[in-house]
Amino acid sequence: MSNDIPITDTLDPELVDHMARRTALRRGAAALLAAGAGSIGFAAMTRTAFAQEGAIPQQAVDVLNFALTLEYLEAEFYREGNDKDGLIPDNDKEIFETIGGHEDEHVKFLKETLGDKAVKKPKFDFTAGGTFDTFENYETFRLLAIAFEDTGVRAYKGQAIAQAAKPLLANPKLLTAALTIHSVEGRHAARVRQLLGFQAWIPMDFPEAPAPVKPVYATDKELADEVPSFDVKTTTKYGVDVAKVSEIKPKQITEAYDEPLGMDAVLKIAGMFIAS
Amino acid sequence: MSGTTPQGPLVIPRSGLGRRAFISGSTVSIAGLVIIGCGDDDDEPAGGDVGAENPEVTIDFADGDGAIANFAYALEQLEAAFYMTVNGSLPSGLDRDAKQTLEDIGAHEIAHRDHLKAILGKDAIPALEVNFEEIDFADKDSVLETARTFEDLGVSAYNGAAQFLSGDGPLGLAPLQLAGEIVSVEARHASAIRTLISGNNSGDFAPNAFDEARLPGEVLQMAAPFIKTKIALRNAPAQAAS
Repeated sequence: MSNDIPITDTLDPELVDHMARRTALRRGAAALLAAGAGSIGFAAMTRTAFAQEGAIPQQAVDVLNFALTLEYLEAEFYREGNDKDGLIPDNDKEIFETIGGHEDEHVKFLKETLGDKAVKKPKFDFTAGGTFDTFENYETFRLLAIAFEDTGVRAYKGQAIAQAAKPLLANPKLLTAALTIHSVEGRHAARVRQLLGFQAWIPMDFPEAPAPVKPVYATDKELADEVPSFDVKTTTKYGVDVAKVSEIKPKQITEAYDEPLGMDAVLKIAGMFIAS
Repeated sequence: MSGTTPQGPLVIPRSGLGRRAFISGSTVSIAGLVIIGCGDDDDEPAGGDVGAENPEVTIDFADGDGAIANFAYALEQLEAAFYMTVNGSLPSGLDRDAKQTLEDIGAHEIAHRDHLKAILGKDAIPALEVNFEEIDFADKDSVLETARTFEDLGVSAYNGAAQFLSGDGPLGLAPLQLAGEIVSVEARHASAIRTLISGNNSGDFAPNAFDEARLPGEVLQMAAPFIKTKIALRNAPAQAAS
């Protein structure tokens, strides 16, 4: 990785933690849960995955609104970044235009899927109250892109397990649609990680991760309590120590799996950037 | 297993083999493989009984989550064998980062393979024999194009199979969780390989806002040219679950 990431040098981890817990987070969470109850029709579906009439159960609505909030965040982040003169060097422009375009499509798809149950777009502050020089410093911008993409990968997965999976498994078309977004986030994550010199995959607990983005790679203990089979960045997976059945180095074993992150942990990260 | 629609013995001629785009018209020697079921070029579902006649290995989707794990195990075997061959004798023209990428990916696929085998235990299908005759391992482009094909296929296979996991088997949601943990790493692989092919400035690492989700029968048809062992799927889902 690069030797100097300016914000790591200047930022107190405790401050970041504090930012994450401030009221903006709670407002974000409240907005997320504000989706009304009941079911909706699929009249506005544009994708064949949803070419059926049906209803989305409330728990799935919550999951989709959670996803929509993250996609709003990503889409706006890239839109602002792509629009900012002089931020992204010419060589990397196509990368971020591609990613931004995808996030816009994810937003559109989720909004259409949710119809009038879709949460409104929050007001974002990508400086997190002046903490980050996000659109002034290309290194900061790339670092936040990594954090958002790796969070997105883990967040979608977090909703595919635990209780949330029940409504999704009961709605296979929703599950598949979510997965086809999830893997695209994985492609994005790999590419933006490489832009700062990281490997495309996440080793162990990613010790090189700068302080502000540490929570993106932390063990989600609450989720681990809820899901007995869930281990974060150990070589033991689903009761099998892969290091014992495979000749592969432990570091590479941990890279081979992307762990989930639960809703609370994700909102703590995203909440830093939700102004209202 | 909602969505499972046994199609009966739909034997189609050898000319219906595989996907046009995949083998691009070349004469592929596929030891004894006959596709039973359907091509996807005419929009027929790739479900029911798919694969070889007189198979050496049969995966029956009526068995539930274990069948999907075995299906994943077959694909991981294929990928692991491919990268072991690649890394055993790398083509020229790869820089240090590219070599490291291929080594890491190979290691991940071996971990997936060995892990799935251990989870399946006595239910695991046997080791598969592969057929890499069409791959020029001395040619960087051939290697990377094949890698891209396998990684994109792997992503679409997990994306398409997850919906058929029951979630209430003896392992509960663990199979879905595991599939989710693996598929995004396959997507990272696909991204990295595509960048090796298309260059650092390209947006080709993620060609679409939504990845594909392929049914197991379709995935087998695309993978079959690279697998010598005769594999058949029974009761493969013919359409997306609903």
